[in-house]
Formats: sequence, structure tokens, C-alpha cells
Amino acid sequence: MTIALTRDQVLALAPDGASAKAASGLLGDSQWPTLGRDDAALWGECKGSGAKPYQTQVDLIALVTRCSCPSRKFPCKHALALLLMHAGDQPRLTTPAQAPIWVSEWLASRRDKAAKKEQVADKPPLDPQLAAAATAKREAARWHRIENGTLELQRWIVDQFRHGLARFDEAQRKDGIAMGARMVDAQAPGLAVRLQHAIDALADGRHEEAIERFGLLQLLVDGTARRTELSPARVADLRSALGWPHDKDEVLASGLAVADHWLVLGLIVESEDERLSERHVWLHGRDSGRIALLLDYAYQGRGLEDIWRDGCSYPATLHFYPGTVQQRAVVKEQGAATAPAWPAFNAIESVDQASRAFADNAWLPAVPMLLDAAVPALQDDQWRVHTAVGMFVLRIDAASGWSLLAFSGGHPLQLMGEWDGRLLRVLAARNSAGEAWTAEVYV
Amino acid sequence: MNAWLKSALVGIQSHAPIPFDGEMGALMTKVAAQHVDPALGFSRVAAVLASCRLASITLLPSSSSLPPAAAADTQALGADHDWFIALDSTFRQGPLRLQVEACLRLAVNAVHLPVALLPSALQAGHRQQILRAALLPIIGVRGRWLAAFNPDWRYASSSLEASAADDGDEEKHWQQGSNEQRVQYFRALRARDPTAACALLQSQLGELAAKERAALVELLATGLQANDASLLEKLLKDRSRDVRQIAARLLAMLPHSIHAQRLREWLAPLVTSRRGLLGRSWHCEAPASADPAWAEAVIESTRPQHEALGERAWWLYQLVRQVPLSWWCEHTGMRAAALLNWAEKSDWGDALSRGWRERVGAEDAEWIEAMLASDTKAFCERRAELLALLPMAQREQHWPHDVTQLQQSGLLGQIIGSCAPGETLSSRYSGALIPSLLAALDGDALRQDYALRAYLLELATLLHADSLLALREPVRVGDETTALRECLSEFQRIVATRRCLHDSPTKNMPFTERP
Repeated sequence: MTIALTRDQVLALAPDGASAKAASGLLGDSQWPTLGRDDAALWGECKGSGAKPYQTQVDLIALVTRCSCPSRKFPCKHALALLLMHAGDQPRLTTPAQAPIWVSEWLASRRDKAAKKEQVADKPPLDPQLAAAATAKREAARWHRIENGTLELQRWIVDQFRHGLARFDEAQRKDGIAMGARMVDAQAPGLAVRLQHAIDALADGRHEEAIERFGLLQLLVDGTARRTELSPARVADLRSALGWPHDKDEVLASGLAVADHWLVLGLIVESEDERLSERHVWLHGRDSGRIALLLDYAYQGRGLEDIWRDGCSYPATLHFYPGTVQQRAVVKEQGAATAPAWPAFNAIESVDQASRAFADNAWLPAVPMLLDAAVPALQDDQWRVHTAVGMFVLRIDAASGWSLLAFSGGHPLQLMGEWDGRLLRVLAARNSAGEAWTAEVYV
Repeated sequence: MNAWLKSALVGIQSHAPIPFDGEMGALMTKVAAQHVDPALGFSRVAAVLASCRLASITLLPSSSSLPPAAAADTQALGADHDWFIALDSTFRQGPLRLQVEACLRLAVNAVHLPVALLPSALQAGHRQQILRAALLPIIGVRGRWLAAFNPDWRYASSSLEASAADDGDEEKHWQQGSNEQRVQYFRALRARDPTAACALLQSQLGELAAKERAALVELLATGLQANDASLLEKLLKDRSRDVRQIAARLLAMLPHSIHAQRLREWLAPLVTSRRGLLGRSWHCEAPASADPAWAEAVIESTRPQHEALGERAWWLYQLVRQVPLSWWCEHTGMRAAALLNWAEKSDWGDALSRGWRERVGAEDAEWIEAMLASDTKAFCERRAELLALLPMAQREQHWPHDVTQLQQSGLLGQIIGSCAPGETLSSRYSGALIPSLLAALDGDALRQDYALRAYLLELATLLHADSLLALREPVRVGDETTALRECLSEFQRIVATRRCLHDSPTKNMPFTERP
């Protein structure tokens, strides 16, 4: 059964106001050389900046979208425009004899995936003791591979210190990249990512930062070696940092559950790889006051099926991943959105909380920073925000920097960002009139 | 810390000095001492340091002297305004004519750009100098404030103090604004009070750079009056050649100025009549030798090395380009068309045509028509510029009402070339073009003719706003190439944007209040 949507319901699916506006500007016939629909899907080819039009499709049953555009927002403006046309009964959305092959293939792959899931669900459960033994065996094998990998990594790091970081050259950089690949082979992709960041810092001449990044890798090496002495929460921190987080279903079954009204404070979708997108949604619980991070991945636009719109609040139950700092969560149920104002932020408290979070878990990639009275400025070719607690250097692209400065006009803002221990990546801001700003490009 | 870091840079061969005292130092010493391999010890000390640094966030103190914040701008459109998307695509994607029109539409409605669009608009102004004059009135105090932070946007900036105060005192733009803002202020003052503008320029002449002097002196053409002569006479000796030439041209237009009289005295003996068997005939001679007095009238006696004209023709041309065209009619009793015919037969035709072409202005309607009708190369090459001097209604009399005919006769380029950014064709002429324009968009010509595609996109920005509603979407058969599809989509975007900008902006009032 397909879902009949109204224009307002479609606009509520937009990840932010800018996407909703942009989608409204894509409703002209001229933008869409082809349009079509059937009972299961909507599709269309939308003219973009490239030579080939973007192929946009919507699964009407599950209300999932896919688009070949490079946008990091989900649903993208093209998918939203398609849905808006559907809601407005666009006459060109007719049913042809056969859907294009790119649509039928996508729908078929979704059906296959769903069928496989059902098959797995239908299988009779294994004997719990046998299942636990099998899991323990698999985990032991993986720990063994990771431990071997970390020892190799330690040798490489120590060699760099022994030879001197000033002598780090192209050959060593390539050697370091190969070491990262070995960490992936050792089933510790988190180490590969961290090593790459350390190598980048070294190659850029940021030696102090590189030493600290190597230090945190050393801590992971030592943590892996001493994992049996660590508390379960610390092991969870370790696994997460190694790139081996707990299974989503496991978290849904046993993770700390918090039902609340969750306000989206900031949202980014970033892609280090063209095909793989990573979405961070930072939420604030109205009643619990908790901060939660939803971390999702999409391969070629598939996978980001929950809709979270910047500035909206959703009644939902979140289940938190285990760890010393319970920040990451998964959502079980999500209700309809409302759009309340941001809560009050306090920069001093936020810095304290960030310090405590890093004190508990130094491997956290980033912690939220909620600043009040933050004044953005461009000084010494650096984007900064000035607050009562001190000055933050921003990780922001030039276009978003200028846009933030224009938005502020030099006046203090409420500002939300991700603090990685060195730089603050600003995701969203509000001015005293309650108007919203979000970064368009993430770096 | 430095010694510790240095040891890592040069290579850890022995235990590195511990970077901290106190509890942290004791812990680091203990950790380092556990290892025989000093490099491994260093790596573990680095782990301690990194963990401690993350846990004790240390920020540099905030600057106590942040720039003053911008004053409130109640004229700025909100991000939820109906025009927002149209304006956004206009300043991000162009084209220039659409950007100028957007600025004019905002100015006419006395509103300013939404704050979110200021960076893209200021960047567009950085790339296109011609856009700046239209942009300045609609960026508001927030735009002027923002521009002060980016050297590329200095053309639009005012001092931060002025942006913070923004008491509406336009005189501050003259005292503290960019060159563009000063020019804008001076243009308005000249239109309002020519004498005050002349006095202002005279009083500050010594403080202005050559480029700015030239831009401001050029503006004296508006409301030119006898009182300006003394300033212009002084500018004949300016250090800048551009300023001297502009001043000379303006002075020549003041018939009672000494300069104009001298020009007439020099030129009159060269254009003489003789009575012959067939009646009176006129003859033109070039000066036989250079007059030392020319130097004071911005006439150069030394011919430039690559000048196509001969030496005497060069001297004649310099005289001709300064003297108002009306003098020729008064002096010879001939009309413009007759003078052009006469010049063609003269030995000095090239010098005369070139001088007249440079001298002709909007006030010389008869001359413009004669030049447009002439086959002389000097005028044929400049038809678009000549047409631009005519009022639109007169211009359009030179053009057929059919896009295909215009394209085949090469007149589309002329239409486009004669319209300044911000100018549009008349409602009547635009309406007359619509049927053939739609036929061109639907027809096959566009498939092969790449030049026509570019012309039609320009035409989309030139049609009168009244005719936009009559433009339906081009018919597509589905086999268009990507480039053609893009062209048709761009045409539609321009038309849709213009339609939106010609809707009333008040539909979405009130404007968002700024802090």
C-alpha cells in the first residue's frame, strides 16, 4: 500500500529548511526530463550541474529515497521535490508500461534484502549456549587478529619516534598508509582512520598534534593488550575506538533505554569516500537533559532511513551503546516532529562536560559543545568563536564561515558544534531572534 | 615541553626529558622508567599527555577587542521570503544581467538582500565590477559590515564603526566608504546639487588617487554647467592623462569656456568653403604643423608609435574628438548625413569619422541615425554602441520583430550589445518577439546553432517583464542533447526567476527583525 502524503508532510521530511526551500525550487517541468510512478515507487531524472541528470527514486511503501546526486542530506532536495510533485498530483507522474531498469533493480534489491532479513528472523533460534560459544569463539579470533595488528602498529609508531619525526618523508608516509591497510585487514578499521589522521598531521608539520595522536594509538595498543583487566564499559570504549562497535540489535535489546522528546541540535552527513556517507545527528532530551548521538552510514545513498530534521523535536525511545560515556544511541520508535526553541546553553558547563567526557574516554572522536553568547570572527586567517569561557578555533569551510559571520553580524549566538579536542566544527546556530543557521558544507 | 618535542623531532635515542612537573610529571616519569626502549617509553608518555590534554580543555582567552557588531537592518528580507530561492540562484549562478535586475528590483522595493545571501552577492560583485553600483544600495548595513572583513569585498565595505552606528548618514559613505561608495555618493550629490558636488570635488582633489579622480570628474557630465569651467580648466593640467582627457571633453561642451573657444579657433581655419562653378563647397585640411599651445588643450603633438593615422591626421582627429558635433552643423550649414557623405570624400575621412564617433553622445540623435545608416567602417563596427545611445523606442525601430530574422541578419548580437545591464526591451517590442521566440525554442534551429542558444539566454534577461507571462515552457520531444536540455532549462530558470522578482515582495511581509 502506498502512502498518500500532503505537501506539509513531505516538507516535514526535509533534513533542514534549506533543503525544503531548494526542493520547492525544483518543481518546474524543465528540471525533470523524465518522471514516472507506479504503485511501488516514484522516479525521475533531474537536471543537475553535471552532464548526466540525477536519478532520483522513492520507495512509496517504505518511504525511502535514493538519488545519484552527491548531496549529503537525506532525503536530498531532488527526492523531496519528487515527493512534493507526488503530493501535488503532478500530471507528468504517469505510469509507463515498464519502470526504468535503474528503478526496478533498486526495488528488487530492497525486496531481496527484506526477504533475507525475514528468512533470518524465521530461522529457529540456536541453542543459547551454542550461540554464546560460537560468538565467544568469533570474538576471541577477532581479538587475536586485532592484537597482532596492534603490536605491528606499535612497532611502526615507536620506529617513527626513534628515527625522528623531522625525517618523516614521502616513503614513510606511504609506509604508514600501508600500515593503515594492515589494520583494516586486522579487523580494526578504527585504528586505520586514527593512523591516517596522525600521518596527515605529520605530513602537514603539525608535530605536536601528531605526537598526541600517536600517543592515543599507543593507548589503544596497550588497552587491547590489557583488555581482560578492563571493566566492561572500558572494553566497550576500546571496541568502539577500534572500529568494532556493538551490534545494533544487541544495543536495542540491552542498551540503556531513554524515552524523551529529542530535539535535533545539529546534523551532518559527511563522506570521506564518495560512496559511503556518515550521518551524525546530535539530540538533546527535553526531560532527561541527555545528549545523544545517532551515527548512521549510507552506502550510495541507501541506509539513512530515519528522518531527522534540524531544529525539530521527536518523541522517541533511544537505546544507548555501552561505554564509560554513553553518547552514541540507536532509535527504536520515533514520533511526529514539533519545532520547539533551543534550550538554554552554558559555555562554561559545556566545556566542563566535554572535559569530563574526554577524561572518562580519551578515544571519543568528538563531544558536543553547546555554547551561549558565542561571537564568530575571522582573525589572523582563522575562523574563531569567542565565548565567556575562551576562544575556539573552528573547523569550517570558507563559504560556511562567511555565511556564519553574515548570520551573526557580530552579535552573540547560541551555537552547537562537535569538539574534537582541538577544533570546533560548528553545525548549527541560533540568533537572539530564534532564527536558525546550519552549515552547508562540512569539513 | 620544547625539549621533549625536540627530542621526538630529532629521534629518541635515550630517555627524553619529561615535559611537565607535578603529578603529571611524576606519572610520566614513572611510565617512561618502565621501559628499556626509550622510544616506547616516549610513546607511552605521549599517551599520558594526549589523554590529559583532552581532559583539561585549555582555550586561549577571548579577544577583548572584537569588532563592533553591525547595526540592525529592518529592510533585510528574511530567509523565509518568497524571493529567497530566486535571489539565491541568481547570485550563485548568474547571469550578470539577472543579477543587476535582482538588485534593481530590491532597490525599487526599498528592501535589502537576505543576510544569508550576502556572501554570494558580495562575491558576485567581486567578480563583476559592473555589478557593484547596483549591489551597493541593497546589501544594507549588514552587507557593508561583512564586506569589511574580506579584502575582495572592500568595494562594498564601510568602516566597522560606521556599520555599527548606521545612523543613515550618507555623508559617512563619502568620508569613510570604499571608492565605489564614494562614487555612488558623489553621483547622487551631483544629480541633487551640481554646484555642491563641484565644490566638494574641488576641495578634496589633492587627496584623491588618479583612478578615483577620473571616476568623479566623469560624473561632472551630469548637470554640466558654466560654473564647472574653473575646476575643469585646472584639471587640464592634472597628472593623470585620463583625467586631462575627460576634463577637456567636458570643457569643450561648455561653449563659453576658454578651452572650447580655443578649439573652435584651431578647427575653423581647417574647415573652409570655396565658391566654385557648382556653388559653395567645403574642404577640410589637417593642421600642417603642431601648435605648442595644444599641450594645454590635451592634444598631443607626438603621434603614438602604433597609431594607424598619419601624423597630421592624428592631430586633426584629436581636435575633432573634442569639438561638439553641433559645431560642424553650425559652421558648415550641413546636416549630419551630408557631413558624413562629405567626410567620406575627404582626404581626411578616417580622422573625421573616428573623431566624430568618439564625440557622439545621446544628445546627437540626428548624428546617431546618420552614422547607423552609413556604410563607413568606423560606424558599422560600432553599431551596438551607437544604438545604445538612442532611447529604446528609437533603437527598436532598427530591428525586425522576428527572432529568426534577427539571428540571420546578425542583429541579435546588436540588440544584446546595445542594452546595458539592467535595461530591458520595451513591452511592445518584447511582446512582438514572443511568437518567434517560442518557435525558435521549439524548433530545430536550436539543435545545431550554438550561438543562437547563447543569444536566447541573453534575450530571456532582456525581455520586458510584462511579456514574461506569455512565455510558455519549450516543447521537448525527448531526444535533446544534454547541452540543449541544459540551455532550455537555463532559459526556464531565468524566466521563472524574473517572474518571481516581478511579483510584489510585500506578499511575504513583515520583514524579519534583526537584533
